[in-house]
Amino acid sequence: MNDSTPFAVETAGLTKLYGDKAAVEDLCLQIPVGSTFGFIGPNGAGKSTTIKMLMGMVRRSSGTAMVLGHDAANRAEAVKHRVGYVPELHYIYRWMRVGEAVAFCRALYPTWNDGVCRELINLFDLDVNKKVKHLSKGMVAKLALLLAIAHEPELLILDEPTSGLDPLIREEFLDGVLRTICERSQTVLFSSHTLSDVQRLADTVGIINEGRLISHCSTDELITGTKRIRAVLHDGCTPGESPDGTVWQRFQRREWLLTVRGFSQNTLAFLKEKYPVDNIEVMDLGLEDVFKDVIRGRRASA
Amino acid sequence: MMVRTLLWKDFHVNRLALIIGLVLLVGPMGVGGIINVYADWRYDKLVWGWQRFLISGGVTTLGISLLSIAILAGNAVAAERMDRSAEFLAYLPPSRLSIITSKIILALGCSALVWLFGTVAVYVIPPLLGEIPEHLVRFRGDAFPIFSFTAILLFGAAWLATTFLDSPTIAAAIGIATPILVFALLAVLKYHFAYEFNIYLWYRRCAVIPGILLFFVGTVYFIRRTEP
Repeated sequence: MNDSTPFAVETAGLTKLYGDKAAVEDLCLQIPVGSTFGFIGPNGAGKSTTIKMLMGMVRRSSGTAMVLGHDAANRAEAVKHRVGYVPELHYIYRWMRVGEAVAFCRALYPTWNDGVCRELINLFDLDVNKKVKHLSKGMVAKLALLLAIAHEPELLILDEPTSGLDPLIREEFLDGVLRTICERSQTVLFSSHTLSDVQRLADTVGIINEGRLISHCSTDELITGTKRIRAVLHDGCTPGESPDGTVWQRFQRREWLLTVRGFSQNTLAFLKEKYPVDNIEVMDLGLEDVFKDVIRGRRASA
Repeated sequence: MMVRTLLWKDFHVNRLALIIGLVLLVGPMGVGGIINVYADWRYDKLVWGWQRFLISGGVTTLGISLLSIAILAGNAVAAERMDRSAEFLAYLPPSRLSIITSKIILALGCSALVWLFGTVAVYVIPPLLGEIPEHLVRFRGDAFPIFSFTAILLFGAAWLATTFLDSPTIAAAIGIATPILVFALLAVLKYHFAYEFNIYLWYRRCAVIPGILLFFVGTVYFIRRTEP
C-alpha cells in the first residue's frame, strides 16, 4: 500500500450520473486503515454503485476514488489484488465444484493462504466436491466470503452480503467476518440493511440517501448522541421552532415526538423554556431507529 | 499462469459449443464416409472414391463449421454476461487483457483447428491418393476460398457483437447474418443496379479486411470497457 495515506478508501466529489439522474453525488468519504465502516442507506441510495466504483466495475462521472492508495478506475487490477469483495448476489461459476472455485481463485491471487482457506472450509463446513449450483444460498455466501478472505486482502468490501440468509447462516457468516477483523486488523467496508449487524461490526457509520452522504461519524457517537424525546404539550399548544439537531419530528394531538442528534441537557432546557410541557421523556435509540428517523426526516423535508 | 487458469475456465464455459463444433466437424465426414462406402458397394467404385469423399466431405464440413465458429465467437464474452458470472470474474484480479487473451486463444485456436482439419482433408491427403479429377479441383478451388473469407467476416462480426451484448445467441446470429447481408448487398448492386464487377472478388474484399477490423474493434472495446 502507498504508506503516505492513512486511508484505505478516500473519495472526493465522487459522482455517478445515469442520464440526468445522479446515483451518487459529490461523495466525500474517508475510511481509515484498520477501521470497520458500516455503509447504510435505503434501497437505491447509491451504496452498491459507490462500491462498484471503488472496485472499478462502474465508470465514475466525476470526482476521485482512491483505494489503498491507488486510483480505483485507472489501477483497478492493482486494487483487486488487495481487496476482497463479497457482493449481495453471488455469481460464482455454477458449474464449478467448491474445490475448483477455490483452486481457480488460488491461481489468481499470489497472496493466497492455503492455511486460512482450509480453516474456513472447515469452519463453514463446505464440501469441496459439491458443485456450486447444488449449494444452498447460505453456503454460496459462505463460499464467497472464503474466496474473498483467503488471499488475505488489506480491504474487505461486503455489499449486503447477508441479505436473504437465515439467522443461523448469518451468524456464521458474521463470525467469519469478525474473525478476519480481529485476527488481521483488516479494513472492512460493510454495507447492509440488517442494521443490528452493522451496529455489531462497525466502528464508524455512513448514511447515504439519494446518492448523498448525509452522515458520517462513529457508531457510538451516532447512537449515544441521538435521542428520541417525547414531549406532551398543554392543550391547544402546537410546536413551532424545534431544537438544534432535530432530524425528525411528529406531532399528534398533544404528543410531540422528536429525534435529536447531538442531544444534551440544553435540548431539554430549550423545550421547557419555549413550550408549556406537561411531561417530557428521553429515550435511547438503536442504530435502526436512528437510521429510520434520519431518512424519514430527510424525506419529510424534501 | 493466470491465462492458463482463465483458459481452463473458458474451456468449461464453452464446453457445449465445443461439443457442437466437434459434432459439426466430424459429422459430415462420417455421413460422407457412409455414403462413400455404400457407393463403393453399390456402384463398384465406378463413380465414388476416397478423393471425392475427402474433398466434398472436407468442404462440406468447413461450410457447416461456419456455424460452430459463429457459436464459439458469439459465446466468448456474452455467455458469461448472460449467466452473470462475468460479474464474479470482474472483481477478481485478472486484467481485461488477460481475460480477452484467453478467449482469443480458445476461439481462434479452435477455429484454426477446424480449418486445419478441413485443409488436411481437402488439400493434403487427396494428392497422396493419386491424380485428382479436374472437376474436384474446380470444386474445391471455388468453395474453399469462399468459406474461408466468410469465416473471417463471420468471426469478426460475432466477436464484436459478443463484446457488447449479453446474449450469445444474438451475437452468433449477427455473425451468421453479416456475410449473408454483405453478399446479398453485392448481389443487389450487381444484378439489380447492373454495376459491373466481379462479385466474388468484391465479396472477398468486403469480408477479409472488415472481418479483421471488427475483431480488433471488439477486442479494444472489451479491454477499455469498465462494466463486466
